[in-house]
Amino acid sequence: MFGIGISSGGSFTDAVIMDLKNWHVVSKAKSPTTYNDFSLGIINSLDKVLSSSNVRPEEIGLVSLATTLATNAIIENKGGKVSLILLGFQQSDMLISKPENARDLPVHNIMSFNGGHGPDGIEICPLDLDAIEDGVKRSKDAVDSFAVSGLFSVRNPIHEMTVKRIISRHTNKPVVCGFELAGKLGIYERTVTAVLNARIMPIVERLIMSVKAAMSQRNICAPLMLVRGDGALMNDAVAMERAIETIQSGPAASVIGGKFLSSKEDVVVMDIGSTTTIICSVKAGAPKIDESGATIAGWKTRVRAVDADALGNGGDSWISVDSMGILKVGPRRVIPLAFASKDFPSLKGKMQQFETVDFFSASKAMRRPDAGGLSQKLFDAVLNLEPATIIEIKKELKSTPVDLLIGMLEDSGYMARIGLTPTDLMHVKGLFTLGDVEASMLGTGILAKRLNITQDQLYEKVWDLMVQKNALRLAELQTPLGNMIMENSEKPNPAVEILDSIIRGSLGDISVSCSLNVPIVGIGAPAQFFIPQIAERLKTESIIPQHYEVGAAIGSLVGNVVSTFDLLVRKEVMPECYVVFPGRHVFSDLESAAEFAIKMGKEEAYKQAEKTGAIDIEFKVKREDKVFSKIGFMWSDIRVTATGRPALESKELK
Amino acid sequence: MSTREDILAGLAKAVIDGDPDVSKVWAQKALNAQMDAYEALTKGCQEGMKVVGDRYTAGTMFIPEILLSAEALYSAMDVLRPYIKVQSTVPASVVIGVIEGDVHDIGKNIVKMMLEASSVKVYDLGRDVPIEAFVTKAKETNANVIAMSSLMTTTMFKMKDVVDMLVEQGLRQKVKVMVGGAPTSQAFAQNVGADAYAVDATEAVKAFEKLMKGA
Ligand code: B12
Repeated sequence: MFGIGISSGGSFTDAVIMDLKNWHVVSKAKSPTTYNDFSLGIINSLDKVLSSSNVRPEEIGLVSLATTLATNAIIENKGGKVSLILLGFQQSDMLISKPENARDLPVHNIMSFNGGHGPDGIEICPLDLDAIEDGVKRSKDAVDSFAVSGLFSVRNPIHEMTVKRIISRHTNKPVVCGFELAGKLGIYERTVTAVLNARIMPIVERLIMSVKAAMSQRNICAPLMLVRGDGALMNDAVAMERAIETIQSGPAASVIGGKFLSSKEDVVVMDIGSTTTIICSVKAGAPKIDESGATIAGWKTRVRAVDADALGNGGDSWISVDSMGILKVGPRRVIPLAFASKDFPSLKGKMQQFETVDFFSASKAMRRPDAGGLSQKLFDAVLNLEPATIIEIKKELKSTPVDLLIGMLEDSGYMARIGLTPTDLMHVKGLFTLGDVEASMLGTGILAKRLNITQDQLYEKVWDLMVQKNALRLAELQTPLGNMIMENSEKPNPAVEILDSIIRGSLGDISVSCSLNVPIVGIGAPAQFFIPQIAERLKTESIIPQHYEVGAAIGSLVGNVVSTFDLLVRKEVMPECYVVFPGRHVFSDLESAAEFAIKMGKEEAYKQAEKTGAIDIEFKVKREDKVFSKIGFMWSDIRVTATGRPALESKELK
Repeated sequence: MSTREDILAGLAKAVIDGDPDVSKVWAQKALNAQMDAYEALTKGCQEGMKVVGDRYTAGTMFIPEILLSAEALYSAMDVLRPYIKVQSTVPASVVIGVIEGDVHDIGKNIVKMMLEASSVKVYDLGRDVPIEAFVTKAKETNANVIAMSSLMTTTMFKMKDVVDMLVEQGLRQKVKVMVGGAPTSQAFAQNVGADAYAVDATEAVKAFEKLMKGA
């Protein structure tokens, strides 16, 4: 039986067919990602990969998909209307809890009711059932879904469950509870998680429906699975309920794929895409996970996801010369000349006419609603002139502060810059041929002339900067610095500067040397051009495995189905007892309490894993007792993990 | 004129005897002799309290007597308070209290006094303080730190509830947590998720200062 893995993240949607018996790659394909409707690109790649192999659709037993759809929807603030119900927590409390730079919650309305629990799982205040019923009746027709979040619901979810039941009596619209998605303290983060989940459910559902329809048209009756942010798989039904868990699924698939292809337990995986480089370390076979939850578009969630760094310095980085005449690569991302030239036939002529490589486009960016004012005038001018040079724009709009406004429009996504990029240099070198090579050559010539160097020298310099930047970021992440340094922060950071010098081999008059003690696995189409050099700088081995260019697609197929359940046993006094959470189950001695907790954990984790599409489920129990001198046992954190293989199914099996 | 040793012994005995009038006199003598006020309190009164503790454990002293000892300690403290010298001033605020179920507030009061002497704004919630009260007060006053005291093994676990409450309400990044009291320890503090622990009031001020510098 065979499986199809698809990864739809960057510019390309990759697909592979693997033999599920021996995990050999049978065929692979790439097709452009269709951002307006992801399903089109996904179905294209599905067709392509099927037609390039002898595998019959009837032999497919599993289709697995990693997609950035949910992430994109959240970043673009798309989704349904959500009514948020808070229990034992006020809207004003939410404002206090909200981290300073966080965005406002994307909700249609918020209702706060009495209720919620204390840290001991005891009700603070009973639910006001009548008031809740009234509220639900009032908002049910105006919204698409509900999110319910109660204080300490992770210790005792009974209030959230009760409210869910009340809502379900009045409407079939989806209800998402905080405790269902997150087992950790932090009502703000749980609420964000529940709200975003409720909001993007319809979007993910639509994708799943179109992919499934395409599958059955092609006679594939395999289950469809989606990759979670931690790299595990979930079937379509659970993915629709827990849509938010697909955020970070792209990076997760990359890491899992890189690890799988390298057959190593301890590595750093780098996935070099067209726009970003993803870096994540793997220890003892498991990718590094951010237990506190992924942050997305400024929203802090409680979604467990791989702790992957996205370095915006791939092929689309802007090569520019600053006012001091110094060559810079990034951090801004632009449209490569090679690709822009295909959209704008006049580009090459204008490059020669104005001796420049920098242009602006309005139609390649986000659409601007008619806003009036100066910025609107600028937008219209660019749309009219595009690809527009700054000279033309200034000539058109004489007295307008063009430089200032352009920067603002660019930062807010209403204008896109076109420029020379490493992707263009790769076109010149013949490493890439997808775009217009001539435009790239022209641009390289213009910039080299401006810097008074040869084209080869320009290539060498840019390459050196890019390799160093990637090596430096990787080094930052592998040291304690990684947590402290934000990518692209404008301020020079002395620690980073020192690290940079260390990698280059000298600190003033002192020669230094550093070496990474794990190999770097490179995946993604341009990996072979970068990874060996990055590894050389960090004095470690580089691994470019076979099928590296579709590593993420492979990663989306090889994952397991995993479900975790967290419990707490804590000692209480007067009278002495041991209480198991969630739910407050009281026992007179510790071992009976722990035994019950593990049993309950296994039951819950098993139920969820089975529902998620797993077979051959195995458990792992981690119990951490906190015992202190003088006091003895105080509490125990227990985590039960259920892991299984995805259940396969095909037309032939039936 | 009494010697330093006489004065410290006098203070300790007054606390053991539970005589607030006598302890006041010894405190004044300490000041007259130019003794360090904080030393008089810790090496005098607090040593006396230790003896009281031992005798209580041994069953030779009883609760009513201990209460009188506490009175004696406080009356000496009142005399000494204005003369307590501190190294530094820390412009910050703290919500302090003894955790729910616990009425032992002598230690907490000494810590409070030392913090106030360092110009820290102290919101004192007293003793037997419900866990929500710490959180509510910190929210209301925008305090930098919550400081909790517990003298009993049977109440100290509630400190974790306060930390959990802060985490649950998203306040953990905004408020630092400091714990103290005889049964607590550095390891305990770390495990409940507190930022600092201190064995005594002087260390408490140092720890507080360090917390504020780190912020
Ligand atoms: C005085 C005392 C009392 C007095 C308290 C008066 C008062 N207003 O505080 C009274 C008589 C009321 C009392 C009652 C009881 N007590 Co009593 N009591 C004591 C005693 C003798 C001394 C405590 C004391 O004040 N020490 C002196 C101060 C200065 O030291 P400290 O508190 O440790 O504080 C210092 C540091 O710890 C630190 N610190 C303190 N807090 C903080 C906070 C922060 C943030 C920081 C950074 C530092 C810090 O700085 C302080 C100054 O240097 C102790 C025995 C002992 N040896 O400790 C028993 C003791 C604490 N009590 C005990 C008991 C059992 C009781 C009772 C239950 C008795 C009963 N059967 O009724 C009741 C409890 C009632 C209740 N629910 O709380 C037990 C506790 C056992 C346990 N389970 O842990 C002890 C240990 C006696 C014993 N050996 O059995 N008690």
